[in-house]
Amino acid sequence: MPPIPSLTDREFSSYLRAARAGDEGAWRALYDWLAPQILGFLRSSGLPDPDDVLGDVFLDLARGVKDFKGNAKGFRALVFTIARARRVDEFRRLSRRSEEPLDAVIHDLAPAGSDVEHEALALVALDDLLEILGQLTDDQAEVLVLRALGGWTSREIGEITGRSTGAVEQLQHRATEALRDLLEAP
Amino acid sequence: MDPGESRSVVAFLTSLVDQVAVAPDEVTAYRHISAAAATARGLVVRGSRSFRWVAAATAMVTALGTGGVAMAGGLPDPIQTAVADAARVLPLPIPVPYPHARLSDPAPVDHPEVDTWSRPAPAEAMADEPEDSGEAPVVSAAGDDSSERPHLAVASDQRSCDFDGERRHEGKERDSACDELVAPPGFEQDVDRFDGDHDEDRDEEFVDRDRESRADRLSEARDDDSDHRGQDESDRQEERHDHESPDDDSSTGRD
Repeated sequence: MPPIPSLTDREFSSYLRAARAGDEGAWRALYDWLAPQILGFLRSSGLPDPDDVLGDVFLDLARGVKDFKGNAKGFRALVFTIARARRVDEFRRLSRRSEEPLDAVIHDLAPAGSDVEHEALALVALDDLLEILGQLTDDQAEVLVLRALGGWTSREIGEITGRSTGAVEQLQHRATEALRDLLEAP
Repeated sequence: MDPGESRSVVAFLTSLVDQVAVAPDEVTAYRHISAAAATARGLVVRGSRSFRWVAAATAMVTALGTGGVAMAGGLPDPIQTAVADAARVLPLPIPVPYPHARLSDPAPVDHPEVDTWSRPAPAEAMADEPEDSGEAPVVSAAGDDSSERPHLAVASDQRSCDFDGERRHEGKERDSACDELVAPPGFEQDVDRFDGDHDEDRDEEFVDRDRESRADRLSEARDDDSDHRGQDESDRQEERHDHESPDDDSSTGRD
């Protein structure tokens, strides 16, 4: 598992103070810290346009940053909470428009700056990964992605998703068994 | 991952994170960062926007209060006049302390030591006016107030009679307009009677009535004269009789 990027509380306090005043440098630091995790969470959810949803997440964050009180970990949890809420809103909007998001998801998952061959392999790999992940329930996939991307504990995932710790552990256990069955099936 | 999770699951999740947890391209990142920073700056401005609302509400309350006091006529005279002058375009009944004095009129001389030599006293102004100038005489309509603000009363009446060109060149309308200000109620009939625009029948009727009244007065005078004459005659006879009787005594005595 790749290491979760982190900021010290002192760095975070200085960035937060500057970000509240609208300093773009501070927002750049916060974005570089959080955007890849949030964008991975949104991409793995199968959203057709995760970049736009990421922009909405940071707009919501800018509106709420004035009232935030806490440390770096709490701030990161806040951002994931916002991203989850925006993802739910986006799926509701898509369900009303009855669009098929899978092709758009595959298109958006292409890594920037890669050559055509590597991009094709990545698309196939991602397609396979997302297809397998799509066979889980939404709650199971969400818990697994939050655990893998954000490195959250069951209690923290429960705080982000609004579930109890026991419910999160139950979901994670079932998701792991289902995924293993899918991956090890002949 | 938990130690109990299989390698396949760990490999799957690692591969997934490697491929999806990628930062967006630089253009998209710059767009997101700029929007977030602008939004945060907008929150600071939005904080001061509440103060702007407070300032606007204060200004509105002040304007309403001033307007209310002005409508009640409670402002100092110059301010009241200015407010009434400014509110002329609005259908608001704002009282004016000097009804005929607007900002364009000369200011009243409240202090005699200020500029008294250039403003003649009302009596002098009335006396200096040519008698046969052809203009309507300027007469104060302010009544008893003319003694308090004589200059204003003269100036305002002069403007009301002179500034209207139609009234100036149409003698009858001008006179009637000025008579509204000048003539007491008992003199309205006389003014109409000597107006040159009336028809001749009415004038002849007036002349006939005048002749009749003169004839009546003459006859009454004659009657009174005859009465007085008869009475004088009888008085004279009595007096003569009184004088004659002593004379008779003396004549008898003399004789």
